[in-house]
Amino acid sequence: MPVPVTTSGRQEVFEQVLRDRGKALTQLAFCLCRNKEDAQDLCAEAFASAWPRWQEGKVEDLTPYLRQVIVNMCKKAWRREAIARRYAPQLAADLVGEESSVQHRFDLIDAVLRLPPRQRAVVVLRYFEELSEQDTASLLSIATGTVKSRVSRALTTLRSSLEGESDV
Amino acid sequence: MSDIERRLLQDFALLRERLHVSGPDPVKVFATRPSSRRWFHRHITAIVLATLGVVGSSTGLAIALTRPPAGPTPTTQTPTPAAAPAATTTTATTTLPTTTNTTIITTPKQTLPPINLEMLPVPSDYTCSEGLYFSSPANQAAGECVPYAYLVGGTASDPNNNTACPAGAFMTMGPVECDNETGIVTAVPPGANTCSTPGGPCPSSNLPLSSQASVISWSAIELPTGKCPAGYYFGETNGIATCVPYDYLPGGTSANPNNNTACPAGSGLTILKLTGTLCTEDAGSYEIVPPVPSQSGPLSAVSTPRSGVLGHVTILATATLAGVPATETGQLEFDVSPGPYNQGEPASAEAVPTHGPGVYTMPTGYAPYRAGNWFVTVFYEPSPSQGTGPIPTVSGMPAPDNPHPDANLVTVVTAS
Repeated sequence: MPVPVTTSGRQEVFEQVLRDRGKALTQLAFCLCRNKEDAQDLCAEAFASAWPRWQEGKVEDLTPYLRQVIVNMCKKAWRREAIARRYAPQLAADLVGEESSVQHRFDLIDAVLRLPPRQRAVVVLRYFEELSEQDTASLLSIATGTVKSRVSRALTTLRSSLEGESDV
Repeated sequence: MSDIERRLLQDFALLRERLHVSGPDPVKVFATRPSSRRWFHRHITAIVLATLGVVGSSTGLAIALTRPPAGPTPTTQTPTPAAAPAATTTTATTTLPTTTNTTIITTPKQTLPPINLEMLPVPSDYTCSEGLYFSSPANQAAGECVPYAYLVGGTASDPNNNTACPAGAFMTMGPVECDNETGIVTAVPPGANTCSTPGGPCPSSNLPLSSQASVISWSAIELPTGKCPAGYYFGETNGIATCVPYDYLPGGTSANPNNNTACPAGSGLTILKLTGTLCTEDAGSYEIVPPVPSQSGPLSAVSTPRSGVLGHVTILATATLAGVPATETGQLEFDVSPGPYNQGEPASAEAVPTHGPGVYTMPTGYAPYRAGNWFVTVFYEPSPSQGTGPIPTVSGMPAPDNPHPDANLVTVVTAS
């Protein structure tokens, strides 16, 4: 999208991204931080912090910038989450509501949300955001090889997780 | 593409349809300030100088979008007496464009003590790499070699060191040049308190300062409980109270506490107090969190060597896992990261399977690619369906959420 030079033009683009991409970025934030309220607050703060930079012309492409801000914000909380995640019950059931969970069981998504934060991040960025390995690596500031290894470990965990549930 | 990958794509597509979240509320977006120390550094002077007042949080998108990007701009003045320390002379309450009330307490300049550098004995055998400079905030266990742009002000041995900007460059106070949180590098225009080559991106704007620096030993910093000692001032990071050198206040140096304060005549430096979310009491009366030595717990670790020369050192960590059932299986992950903490994405992540308590070692180890401090973080994750209680992560990485990093997990790598 060409970036307008004028303040009013930039305002229009910003508002359009807020309308068009706000929900999707909040969903991304949810997949990374696993809490609806936190995701909505986090996304709002991402937009809030982006606005002055966008207004000053310091941001070229708003959506990747917002994605980067959201990922960085989530990274700060991951260490604390490492302790709490194993006690999170039935995350996916909560997130889609009772009606949807009857129509479709989100066992796999539930397992994704229980992954360790770093593994969850690569899975979400690769398969939810559908980013390439290179883009995922760039977004997380890690090597492409690290992305591959984390994805591999995550998929192994997800497989065993699903197999464990089917055995029950 | 494997079956599990195909199913991931399908389920995530379904999730996009069925995950009922709303996008950010425009009012909330533009009523929320970016809450961080960066915001504090950038805007404190503006807040002090600005006319205090109120900006309605419900003015809506169109109005909010027109506010200046430099920070909140109060529009009306509402002086209100408020609880404040004894030294407080004037107080005022302002409602910023945020959901959090912010109280600014102004204290007289004369009451601020000079920093006592004798409290920070330093060894003299450490050298930062070319273009990097040593920095060690008081609430971190280990110092860091950082690009000059990240310096806040002063060093232990020479608090005015970074005032020596070369001709054509200026001094900065605060991490304003490289936006470390978002990874965005922006140019800083020349001006007062800005030490940079105008327009230059990091790290090319680093100044050719001496690479000689000193390491501040965390163990030598004694912060007693109670009020901050002379030379320190109360600081708060993510809810953890610590004492920080006076230099880190937005303005002033140890030699000249009133330098660069940009305070109007008759007023002085300020403490920003965020009620309801961060600080809840007056500054100066907090119990200080002193540095504590690492204690043996269910997970402990040590990395070797503690120091080495770039190209000739491989970091290897060994973890001791205790306090888990003998039959429990899981894995230990060893992350090796460069600092500072907010650049600390692991350069290496190795995992070993575990079977109950025992001593486990990194399979390969990691050879750092640059000089500086390298930090090891060890996580324990029990296998799914095994219900061990929380096992705290151990890490040498100083961070706001890790106020007592383990010095046994830090390796200092010097340039070859």
